Amino acid sequence: MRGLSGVDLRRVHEHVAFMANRKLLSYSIAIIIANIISALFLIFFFYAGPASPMWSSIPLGFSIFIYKILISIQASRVGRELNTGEVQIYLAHTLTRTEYLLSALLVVGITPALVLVATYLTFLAIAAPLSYDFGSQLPYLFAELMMHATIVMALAIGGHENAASIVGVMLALFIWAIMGALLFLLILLGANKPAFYVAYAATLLIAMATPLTYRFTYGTIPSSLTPLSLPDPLLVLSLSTATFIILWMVFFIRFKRRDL
Amino acid sequence: MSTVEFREVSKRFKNVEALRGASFKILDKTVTAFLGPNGAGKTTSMKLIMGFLKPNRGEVLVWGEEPWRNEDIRGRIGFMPEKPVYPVDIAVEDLLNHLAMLRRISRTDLGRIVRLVGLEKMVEMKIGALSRGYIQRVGIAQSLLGDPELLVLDEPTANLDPAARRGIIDLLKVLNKELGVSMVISSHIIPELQEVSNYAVFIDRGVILDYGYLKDLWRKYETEAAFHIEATDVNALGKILIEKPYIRSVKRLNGVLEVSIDPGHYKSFESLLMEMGHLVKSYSFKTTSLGDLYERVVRGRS
Repeated sequence: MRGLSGVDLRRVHEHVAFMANRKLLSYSIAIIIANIISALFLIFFFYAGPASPMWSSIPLGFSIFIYKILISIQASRVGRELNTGEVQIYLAHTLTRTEYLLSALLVVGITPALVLVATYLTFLAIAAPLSYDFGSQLPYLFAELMMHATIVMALAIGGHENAASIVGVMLALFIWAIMGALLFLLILLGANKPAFYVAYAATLLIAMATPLTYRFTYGTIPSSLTPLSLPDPLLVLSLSTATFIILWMVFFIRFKRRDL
Repeated sequence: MSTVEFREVSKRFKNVEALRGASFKILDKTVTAFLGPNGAGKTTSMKLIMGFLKPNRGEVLVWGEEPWRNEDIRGRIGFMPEKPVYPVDIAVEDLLNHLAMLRRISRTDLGRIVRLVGLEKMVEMKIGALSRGYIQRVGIAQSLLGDPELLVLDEPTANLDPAARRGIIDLLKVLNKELGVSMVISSHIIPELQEVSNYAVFIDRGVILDYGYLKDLWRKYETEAAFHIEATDVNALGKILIEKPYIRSVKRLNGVLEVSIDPGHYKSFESLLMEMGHLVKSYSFKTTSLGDLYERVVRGRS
């Protein structure tokens, strides 16, 4: 079954299953914990009525944290496969470089992101009618996990498998603190100071890396408090999506020529 | 016809030039010993054959195609990497099943290969729990999946104890006899490939010193050599041969004569064997030492 660009989807499927199976325990734990959190959230909604976006950010934040850890572990393992030369075994058995990286993209990024999105979609369907506001968070959720996968994979492909897991876990752990600190800085600094623009640029970058986290925090800062209005979350989501698509295209192009 | 051809190939890794204008050919249906000391450029050459590396200069051709461009070539090659890079956290059968699935190989064929390399009692064990000898067997087993036309084995006996090394060499002999595929086997332990190879590429510090059929190289470098002769009457033939001035020794080994001759008399000796066709059933050419040939190639180059 050959797809676009001569990619054999059967081989990709086979390799994705193999890669995922090797971390089956991590996947299972991540999915079980995230589903328990979602179930608790569901019960809360049934008995307490529709909640504010801030409320929904709590279970989502926990689920995202768990999935980010899972993504970081998987990316680190892909990095290890590249560094140790294990990848040669798979490539020697007809898997092409494109098929290998596509498998990695599916295992590290797309599958975990879709599983979490699907979990919350199910939750939405069961707990309907929920507010449009909650449903609209799902594209941000997908983009946030994909951006996380992109960042850790950039490190892993670059041969920094340990950095991939450390940075991945740190980002997952401290993203709220980083985002909060940057927004606090923006409020604190005057518009005329160059430091403000540095902080503004940093905020934009972090926002692109974590569009859902930014969306949650964006709503908490009145625009009157900052000299320059913060970028709209929808714009950040668009930039974030474009960035991870472009970066993955770069990964694919560079990986075709990479020495293994 | 050449299976592999390197044309003025150079490969550089940061400040290290692993290959410097390497040119050689490996012919179809040969068992090639790819010989050189550690750091000579053997693994780089193997990876170039597999298309895992892109040459900085020159061309690597496998069946006339550049493997780093045409990835389908790899489907016709069985590869065993130098380092045991197999995932240690999974069972032997899980890895082999996965690789067999990628190549669309039936379980029957997989079972045949597992038996051929003597892994049938180890398939349920985690790869990390195997000894180095058995890990090398896993490497050979996976390289045989899909009945490859060419086997590229990078240091298959590296870091093994003598008994395990002997086991792998015997296995390679069986594979050569039973499968009859072309093989490229790299090693820094030069004498060990003597029993299996009929072709050689000598490499040192990224430079190809020489290559060709061993029988031609032995003649070219005039190394001491031996012929194994099957005769209709071993005693009669032995008596005739021992009187020739250029023959050093004649030994009888399991009904076969092993005749050691002075370098430089190969042609005249072969002519003599032709003349005595009524006594000679068949003969084969054996060197006394591949290591000695390597020494001469290195000396000849310097």
